[in-house]
Amino acid sequence: MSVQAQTPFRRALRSFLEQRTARVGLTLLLILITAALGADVFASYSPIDVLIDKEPGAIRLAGPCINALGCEGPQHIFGLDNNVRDVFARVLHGARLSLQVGFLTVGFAIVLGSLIGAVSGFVGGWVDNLFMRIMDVLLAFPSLLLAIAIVTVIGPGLINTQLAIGIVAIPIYARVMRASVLGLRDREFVSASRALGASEASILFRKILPNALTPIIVQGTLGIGGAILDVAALSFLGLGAQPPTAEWGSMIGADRNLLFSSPHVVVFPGIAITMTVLAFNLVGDGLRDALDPRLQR
Amino acid sequence: MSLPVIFGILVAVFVITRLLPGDPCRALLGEKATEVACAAFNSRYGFDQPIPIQFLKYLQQVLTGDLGDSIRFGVPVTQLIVDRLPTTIELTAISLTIATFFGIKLGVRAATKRNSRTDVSTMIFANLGVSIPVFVLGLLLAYFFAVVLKGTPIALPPANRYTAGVIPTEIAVAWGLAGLQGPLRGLLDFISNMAIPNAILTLNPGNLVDAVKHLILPSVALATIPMAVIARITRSSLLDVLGSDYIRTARAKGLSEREVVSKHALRNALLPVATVVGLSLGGLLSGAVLTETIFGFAGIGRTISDAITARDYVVVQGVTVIVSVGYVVVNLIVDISYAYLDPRVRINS
Amino acid sequence: MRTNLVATALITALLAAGCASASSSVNTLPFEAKSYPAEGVAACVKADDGTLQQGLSKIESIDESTVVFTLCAPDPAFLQKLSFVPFTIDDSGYLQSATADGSILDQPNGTGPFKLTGWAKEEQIVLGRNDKYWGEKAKAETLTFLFQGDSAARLLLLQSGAADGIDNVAESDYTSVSQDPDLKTYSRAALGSLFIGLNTSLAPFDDLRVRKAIALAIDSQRIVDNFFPTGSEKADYFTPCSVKYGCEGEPWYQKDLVAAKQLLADAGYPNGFEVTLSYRDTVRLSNPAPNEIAADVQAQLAEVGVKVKLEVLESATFYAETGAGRLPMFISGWVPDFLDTSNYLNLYFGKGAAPRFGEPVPAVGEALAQASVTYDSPERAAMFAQANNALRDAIIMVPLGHGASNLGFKSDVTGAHASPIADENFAVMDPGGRGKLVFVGSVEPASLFCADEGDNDAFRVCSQISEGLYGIKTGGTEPEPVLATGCTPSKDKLTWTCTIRKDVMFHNGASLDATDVVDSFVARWDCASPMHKGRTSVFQYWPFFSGFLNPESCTQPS
Repeated sequence: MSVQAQTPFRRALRSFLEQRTARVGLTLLLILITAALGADVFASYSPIDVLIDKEPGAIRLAGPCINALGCEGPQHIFGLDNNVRDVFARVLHGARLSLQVGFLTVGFAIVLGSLIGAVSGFVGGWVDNLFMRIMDVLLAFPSLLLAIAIVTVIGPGLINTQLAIGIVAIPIYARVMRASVLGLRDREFVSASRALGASEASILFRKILPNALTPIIVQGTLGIGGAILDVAALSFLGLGAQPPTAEWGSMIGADRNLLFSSPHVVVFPGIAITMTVLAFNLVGDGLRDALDPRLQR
Repeated sequence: MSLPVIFGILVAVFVITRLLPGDPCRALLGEKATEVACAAFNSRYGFDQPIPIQFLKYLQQVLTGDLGDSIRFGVPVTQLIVDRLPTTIELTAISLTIATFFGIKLGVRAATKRNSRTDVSTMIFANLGVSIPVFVLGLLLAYFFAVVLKGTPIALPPANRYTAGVIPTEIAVAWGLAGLQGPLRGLLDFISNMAIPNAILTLNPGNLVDAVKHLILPSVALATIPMAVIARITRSSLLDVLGSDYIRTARAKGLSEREVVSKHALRNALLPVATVVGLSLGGLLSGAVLTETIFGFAGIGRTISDAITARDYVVVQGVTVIVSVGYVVVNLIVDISYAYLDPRVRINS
Repeated sequence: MRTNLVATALITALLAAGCASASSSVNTLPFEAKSYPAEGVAACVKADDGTLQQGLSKIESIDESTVVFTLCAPDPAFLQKLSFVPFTIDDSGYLQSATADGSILDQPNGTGPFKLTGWAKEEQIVLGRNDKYWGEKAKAETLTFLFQGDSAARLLLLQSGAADGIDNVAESDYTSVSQDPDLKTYSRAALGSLFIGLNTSLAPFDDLRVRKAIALAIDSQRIVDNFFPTGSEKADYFTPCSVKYGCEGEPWYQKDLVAAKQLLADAGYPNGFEVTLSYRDTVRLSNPAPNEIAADVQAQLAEVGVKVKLEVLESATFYAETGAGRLPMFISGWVPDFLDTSNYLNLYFGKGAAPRFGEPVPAVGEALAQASVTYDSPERAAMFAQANNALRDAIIMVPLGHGASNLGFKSDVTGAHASPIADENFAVMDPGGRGKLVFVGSVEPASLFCADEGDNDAFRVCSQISEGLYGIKTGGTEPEPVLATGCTPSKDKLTWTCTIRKDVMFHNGASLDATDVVDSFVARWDCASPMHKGRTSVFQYWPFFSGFLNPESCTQPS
C-alpha cells in the first residue's frame, strides 16, 4: 500500500482548485463576501436613508452619477431608487442580507433534514417509513406554493420568509442524508465499532454522519442560490422582506415594474443576484466533482 | 405505500388553508364586508361549523370526487382543473422538452471538453438562465422580442396564449359532438384546452401558428430552470461513465471519441438524468406560477397562487390535492421506470 | 258608414301592429302590471330616532312603459343610483332561467352596444358589436378585454401593439408613453382618497395631542409631488374638491415640525415612540405606490422622533384587522362608487361604521346621517362642513392625497377618452379603422353579473353589455337617461315615475318592457326571490340604495 502523499482534505482542495469552473465561482464568491463585509466602507450612504429634502438635487429614480465619468454633484454609482435612496449602498448591504438568507435557510434545512434523514436511515423500520412518508407529503407540494401558504399563515417579513423556505427544503436534505446513511451503515467500520461496544447513537453521530456529509455539503451549496431566488419570488408575490429592507430579492420583486423606465433600480440588484447564484452553483458543482471519488482521474 | 402519503396531503392541505389568517368573506368583499354579509356567507359555505365537522365533510367530498365549488368564481373546482391544468401541462411539457434537449447537449459539450474554456463558458451559460429570476427574464425576453423587434418577421407576442379576440373552438364542438356529456366530454375538453393539440385536432393551421408563437417565450423562460440542473447532471454523469473500464476498452478498440461518447457512454450516463427530469417537475410548477402570471396564461399554478391570496379555500384544497397526487403518481412512474432501466437499482432496493 | 270604415281600418291596423310585434318579440305574453312587494308587506325600516331609513318602499309597473318607484325617504342621489352598473336592467325571462342554472355569471344578456361572444377565463373576454342596438352602433366590430396586474406587462402589451389601450399607466411609465408619437395618454380626475388611519382605542393614539403631532408632522404635498401620478392633488379634506361639498369646512393642518415635537413632549413622549404602520401592497387609484408612500411616511415621522415599523399585510388579513379595530396605525385608500361626498365619508365615518379608528365620533356620524337624506342645498353643505370640521378636530385620520390615474392608447384610436369613474365607453372608440379594439384592465372580473360584483374592472366590462334606466355620460360624471326616457319625482320626492324607452331589444331577442325593470330590481331587492342569486349572492351594492326585503332569507345557505 502506497503512502498517502496528502491528507484527503488537501487532495480534495487541490482537485477543487484544478477545475476552472470552480475557480470562476470562487472568485465571484470572494467578490461577494468582500462586498458584504465591506459594505459600510465602500458605500457612503446608508441603505435605508431617504434623501428627499436631505440632499439638494436628489430626485427620485435618478440614474447613475459617476464623478469620474463627468457627472457633477453627489456621486451615486448605481443611481437612486423610488424612495430616493442610494442604490449602490442598498446593493452592497443587500449582499449581507442575501448571504444571510442563503446560509440561514439552507443551514436550518440541513440541520433538521439531516437529523431526520440520518435517524430514518439508520434506525429503519417503521420510524423510517413514518419520517419518509411525511417527507413525501412535504415534497408533493410544489415548493413555491407551500412557501406562499406558510408565509401567509405566519405573516410576511424576512425572517418568516426564510423559515418558510427552510421548511420547504427540509425533505431534500433528509433524502440525501438518508441515502448516504443507508450506504454506510452496513460497512465494516460500523460493525467493528459495535463490536467494540460503542452505543448506537455514538456510531451514528461520530462515525457515520461525518462520512455522509459530502453530498449534503454539495447539495447545500447548490441550495443557497435557490433560497435567494425563492425570496425574490416571494417578494414578487408581495410576501418577502418588508420595506425599507435592502434585500436584493425584494428590491427586484417589488420594483420589477420599473424595469423599463428606470432599469438601474432592477438591473443592479439583478446582476448581484445572478452573480451570487451563479457563484454558488459553480462552487457546488466544483465541490461535487472534487469530492466524488469516482472522478479522481 | 402511497396511500398514507395521499392522506397526509389531504390533512396538510386542510390544515394549511384553515391556518391562513383572515377569511374568504373579507377577502372577497374587502372594505365593504359587514358582519351580516359575512354571517350569510359563512353559513352558506359551512364555515361556521366546528373544524372537525368541516374536515369530515371535506374528506367525504374528496372521496366521492366532489371537490366543491370555487368561492370566488362559483364554478366547480373540477371545472377549473379541466380548464387550467392542461395549459400548465402544455407549458411545462414544452419547457421540459426544451430543457432536456439543450441541457443534454450542453452537458455533453462541457464533459467532452472537460476543464477547458469551453467547459467553463458552457456551464456558465447553462447556469445563467436559472440565476436570473424568471419573472425578470420573462419581462426582458418579452421586451426584446415584442417591442424591440416589433414589425420584424421574428417578432413574438409579449403575453397570452392567443392573439386578442381569438378563442379556439372546443374539440367536441368542432367534431359535432356538442351534446356529449360525461367523462368522455371531460377528456375531450381537457385536451381541447391545450393550444397545440386543439389546433391540430380542429384542423386550424392559423391557430396552430398563433399558439406556437405565443408559447415560445414563456417556455424558454421556464426552461432555463431545469436546463441548468440537467446540464450539470449530464456533465457529471458523463464524466463518471467516461472514466469507467468498459469505456477504456472501447477506446482501446480504436473507436473514435465521438462514437465512444454517443454510442456507449451516453446511454448509461442518461439514467441519472431521467431521475432529475422527474424531480424537476416540482421546480417547474413553482416556476410556472411566476411565468403564468407574467405571460398571462390561465394555468393551474397561477390559479392556486391567486386562490391563496383570495382565501378561496375550496380551490386551494381541491387543486393542491389533485396536483400533489399527480406529482406523487408521476414520481412513482419515474421510480418504476428507473428501476426498470437500471438493473443495479432493482438489486439494491 | 264612414265611421264604420274608419273603425274597421283602425281595428285592422291595430291587429296588424299587434301581430307584427308579437311575432318579432320573444315576450309573447300579454303585459301584466306588477306591484312589489305584496300588499301588507312593509319594506321601510325605522332608524333609532323614528325616522324612516332611506330605501325602496314599493316598485310597480303601471303599463308596458311606465315604472313607479316609491321611496321610504327622499334620496338626493336617486338618479345617480339608477346609473349604477350593478342596477342594470335584465330581461325577466332570462333572469329567471339564468339565475336558476347559474349561466347568469358568464353568459350576460343586456341591451348594450356590445354583446358577449366568448370568454376564455383569466385570458380574455371577447365582445362583438350589437348590430341591433337601439342607439348609435359601436364603431369597433369586436372589443377584447385583457387583464394584467403588472404595469410593466401592461405597458409591453401597448408598446408591442398587442393592445390598443391600457388602464393605469404607472407614473414611472408616464413619460415614455406620453413622449411616444404612436401613443397618447388620457387623465382621469383626481378622485381617489388616501389617508392614514389612527386608532383612538390604542395607545399612544388615545391622546389627542399625539394624533395632532402626527397630523402636523406629515407633509402630504411632498408625498403627492413624489409618488402620485400627474394630475393628482394634495388632500386638504378627505374628499376631493371636485366632488360637490367635498371641501366644505376648514382645510387640514399645515406642516409644523416644531409644534409637533412640542405636542409629543407635552404628551409625555419627548423622544418619540415606536409604532407599527400597516398597509396593503396593492396599487389602486387611491394608492399609486404603496411601499414608497409608506416608506416616506416612515421617513417623515422619523424627523419628530416617531420610529415607524412598516408592516405589509395582504388584503384579507388587512381588512380583517382594520375591521376589528386591531391596528394602531394604517394606510388605506378609498375609490368612490359614485361621486357624492356621502359615498366618500359614510363607509368609514358614518353611523354604524366598523371600529377602524377606535371610538366613533358622534358629531360626524350625525351630520352624515342627515346629509344622506337631504337634497343638494346650502343645508346639505352645512352638514358636510360640520362633518369635515368634526373630523378635523378629532384627527382620527390624516388625509394624504387624491390620486389621479392615467390611461394610454394608440394615437390612432379616435374617440379614446378617460372616464372619471373608470367606466370608459368603448362604443364610441374607433381603433384606427382596424375593427378590433383591445383594452387591458388590471383584474379580471370574477363574473359578468355585475349586480353581485364590486370592482371597477368588472363594471367597465358589464357596462358595455348591459344598461340601466340611467347611465353616466361618456367621460363625465352626471347621469343621463338611457333605458328610461326620463324619471320624474313627485313634489315630496318620495315617488319617481320612469318612462321606459320603446323598441329596445335584449341580445337574446326579448323586448324591453316595464316587467323587466320590476323583475331586475326585485332580483336584487328581495332575498327570498328565487332570482336573488349571483356569484356570492351578497349584492353588495344594493345597500347603497335600500335595505333588503325579507332580510332573514339573506342568511340561508343555498
